[in-house]
Amino acid sequence: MVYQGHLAVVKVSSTGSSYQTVDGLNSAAISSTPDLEDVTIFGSGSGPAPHLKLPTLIDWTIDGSGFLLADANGQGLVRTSALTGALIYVQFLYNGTTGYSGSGYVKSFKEDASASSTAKFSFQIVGSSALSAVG
Amino acid sequence: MAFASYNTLVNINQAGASTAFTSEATTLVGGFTYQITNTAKRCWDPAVPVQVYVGGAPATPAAVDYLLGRVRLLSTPSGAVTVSGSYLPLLLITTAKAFSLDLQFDVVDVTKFTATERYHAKQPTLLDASFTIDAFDTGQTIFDDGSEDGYNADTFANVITSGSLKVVEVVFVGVGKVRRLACYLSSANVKGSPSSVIEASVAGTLTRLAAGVDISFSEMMPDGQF
Repeated sequence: MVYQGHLAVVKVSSTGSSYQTVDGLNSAAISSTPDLEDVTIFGSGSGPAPHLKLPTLIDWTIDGSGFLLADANGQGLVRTSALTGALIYVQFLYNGTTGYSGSGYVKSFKEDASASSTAKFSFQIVGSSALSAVG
Repeated sequence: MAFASYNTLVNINQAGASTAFTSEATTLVGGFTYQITNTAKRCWDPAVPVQVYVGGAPATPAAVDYLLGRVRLLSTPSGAVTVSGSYLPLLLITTAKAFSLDLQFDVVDVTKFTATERYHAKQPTLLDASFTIDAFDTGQTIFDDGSEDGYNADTFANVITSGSLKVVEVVFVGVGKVRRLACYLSSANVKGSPSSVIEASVAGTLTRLAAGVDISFSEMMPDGQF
C-alpha cells in the first residue's frame, strides 16, 4: 500500500523522549548514504571487470521545510539547536507512526519571506548516531 | 498557523549615531531575563558597556544580549531592574521586499576507531550566518557608511564600500518575532531592464564582535537562556 504524503511527521526532542512535532512542514526527506570504498585490487579477473566496493560508515540527514509558525514547540527546538549546537533527537515517521529515529545536530536553518508570500523556514539535521527503525 | 509576511519590517542600524541612555526601565520577559522597555532603545552599542542596576544599586548580570537589549540576572532581583548604556537607532528600509536568513553550523566528523556502530559521529564547532535583502532601489538613503562621504546616509550602490559593522533586523510584525544579526556587508547588487524597475540586493555575513553581539532571536530558549 502506498503511503499518503500528508501523513508524514517529523518529531524532535532534546532528551530522546517527549518528542514534539515540527509543525508547519510541507516537505521532508531522509537520506542515508554509506561510504563505499573502492577495494578493487590488482589481479581482479582477466578482462574488463566491475569495481569491488566495501561499505564502511553511514551518513544520514533529515531535511525539512515549511511555513514559519507564530508559535510552535517543535520549530522552537530546531531553532534552539541551530543556535546552540545542542544535540537533537529526531524521528521521521512517513505515516505518522512508522519510520526512523536517530540523533544529530542542526547543520543549517533558514528563514525567508517576501512581501507576496508567507514566511517560510527550512533545516537540515545531520546524523551523529545510528539510525534505528520506529514502529 | 502560517502567516503572511507583507508587513515584515527590515531595519539596519544608523552607524555613528550611538545615543546614551540612563536608568531605563526594563520588563521581565522570562526566567531572570529583563529587556529594556523602550523599544526604540533595544539595539545597544557594543562599544559602550551596559550597566545594570537592581533597586538603584549596581548589579552584575549573568549575560547581556546587546542586540535585543536584554540582560539575564543570576536570580530574582530584589528591586526594579534598570539599565544604562548607549543604543544604536535602527532605520527602516522602506523599499525592502524579501529577505532570507541562513544559519550554518560547521559540523565535523569525529568518528573514532572505537566506534561501535557503522555511523559517522559528528560534532558542531562554529556557527555562521548570512542574510540577503532584496529591495526596490529608489535611491533611498538608508544605508549608513558613517564616514567616507561625510553624510550619515548612503545608497545601495555605495554601501558595499563601507567596512563598518552593521546590525540588521527583521521583524515579523504580525507575530512579534524579531531577529537581529551583527554583520559585515559582503555584496551589493543593483540591476534593472527596460521593462522592469531597478532592484537591489544586499548580502551580509555574521560576525561575533563580543559575547552577546552576534545573532539574537526574540524567542527565549526553553531553559530561559537567550
